[in-house]
Amino acid sequence: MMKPIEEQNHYEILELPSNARLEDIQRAYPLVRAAYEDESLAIYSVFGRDESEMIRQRVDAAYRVLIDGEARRRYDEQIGLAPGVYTAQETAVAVDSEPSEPVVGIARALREIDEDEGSGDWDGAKLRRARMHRGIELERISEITRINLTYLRAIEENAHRELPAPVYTRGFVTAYARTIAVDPHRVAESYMTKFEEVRSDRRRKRLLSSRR
Amino acid sequence: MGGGKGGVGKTFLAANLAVALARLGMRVVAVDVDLEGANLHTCLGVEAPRVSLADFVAQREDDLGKLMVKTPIDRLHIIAGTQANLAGAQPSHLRRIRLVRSLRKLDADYVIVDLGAGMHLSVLDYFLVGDDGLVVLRPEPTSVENAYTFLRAAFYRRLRLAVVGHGVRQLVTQAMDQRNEKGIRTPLDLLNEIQALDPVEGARFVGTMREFKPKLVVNEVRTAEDVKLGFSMSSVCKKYFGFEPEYLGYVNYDDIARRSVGLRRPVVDLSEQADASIYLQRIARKLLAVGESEQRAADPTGRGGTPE
Repeated sequence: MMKPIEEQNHYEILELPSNARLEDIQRAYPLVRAAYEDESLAIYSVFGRDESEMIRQRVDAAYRVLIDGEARRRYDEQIGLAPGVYTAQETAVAVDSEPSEPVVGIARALREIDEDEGSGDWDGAKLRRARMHRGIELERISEITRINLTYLRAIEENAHRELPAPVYTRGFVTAYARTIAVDPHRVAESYMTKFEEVRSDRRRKRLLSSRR
Repeated sequence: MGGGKGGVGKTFLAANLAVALARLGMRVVAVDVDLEGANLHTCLGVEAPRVSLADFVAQREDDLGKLMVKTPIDRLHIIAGTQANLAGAQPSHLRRIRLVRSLRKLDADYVIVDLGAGMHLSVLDYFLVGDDGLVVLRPEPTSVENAYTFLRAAFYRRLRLAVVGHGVRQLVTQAMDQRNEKGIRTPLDLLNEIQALDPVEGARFVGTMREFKPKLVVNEVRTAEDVKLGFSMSSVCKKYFGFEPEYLGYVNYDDIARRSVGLRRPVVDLSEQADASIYLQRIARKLLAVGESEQRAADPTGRGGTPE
């Protein structure tokens, strides 16, 4: 079980079980890769530049083989693994079946779904938690959605006053949710319910104070 | 609950996880074994109790259970640290062994031990006695470095206790010094040396490595990058040391959490809905899940024993 990095196979390098699904590989790759970037905090005091460069190359090489169904089949054969079928369709069917190997490390962490994402209302704080858990910076969402960072921050901080009219805010929240891959419809419904509540509260108060 | 240097939030985490577990219905004892800066009681809103671990260290009390003091939280007791002992008496070696044994015998579902800073052998031993050794760190270079040093020291300590042969033991002791003459830098180098000396001890080494499952918690995360640090460190450990810590979770940087410290109330108790509380409760639930699955593995009949 303990092998020097040079002797580890592609699965070990990406810290995945040998029956990993395509989507697991796609999700594990950026995570593992990020750990060995020069500016990564995690290698501080452990790996020098040369070593982390070598690991990055091995991570890239592993990824290139494992995402290519045909190359992966050949590789499995070469290292003596039972042949598997890795096309996207086949793996989609295989989701229901039990994995034959225990899912460990990064693969398990990736499959873990936050308990608090399943139920309850979606407010800004919950959106931020979901975003952080997926490792996506707010700036990145702004780049992808072209929504002003100020509005994205206001969404997360539940700063309803700083958000535009409901129709725009709904659009922003939907785009945000889609970018971090949570159900955009459910999130927008939930977020907007609270948003509208606060808005009508505010309007009522304004009305009351103007009557006085 | 360890993590090298002070100030990373060990006590904050110990207090809040203790409360979170108690709120989940567990009977919890929080023990403060920090010999220099004991303040777990303050974090839990308990005035410095009359009895504390000092009584055990000074051999005034032999029954650790009698030093448990109630806290404002249901099902949560505390054994306070030795802050009253200004003479700075360190427990003797025998006393430490006795303490380690007594900790495991406390009548509770969970015993949470808040360790002192540093890497003194006693700290490592308290760390290793637990079923789950939590290493707390902050997303900054100094803290990351400390965490690695701590993990490495804890692993070698455990290994040294596990191997039998005198020659192999000496080898481990040599390896503990990073600048040893043999050029042993990583556990893998050490394994190769041991294998050459004695294959049986080599197998023992591999077994120890497999069983060594410390858990990482990143405290005060501010960005998504910080969140990933735990995954990255787990990966680096696996590739460099050969053992793989589990990334248990993270706690965000939260103003309410800061305020809770000033108010001497764990944030989990002060504000259940605060962001930090949600993260802390998540970690507590995960600990519970780990405990249950390990219990099931140890007791396949499903009757269950006393979780510790």
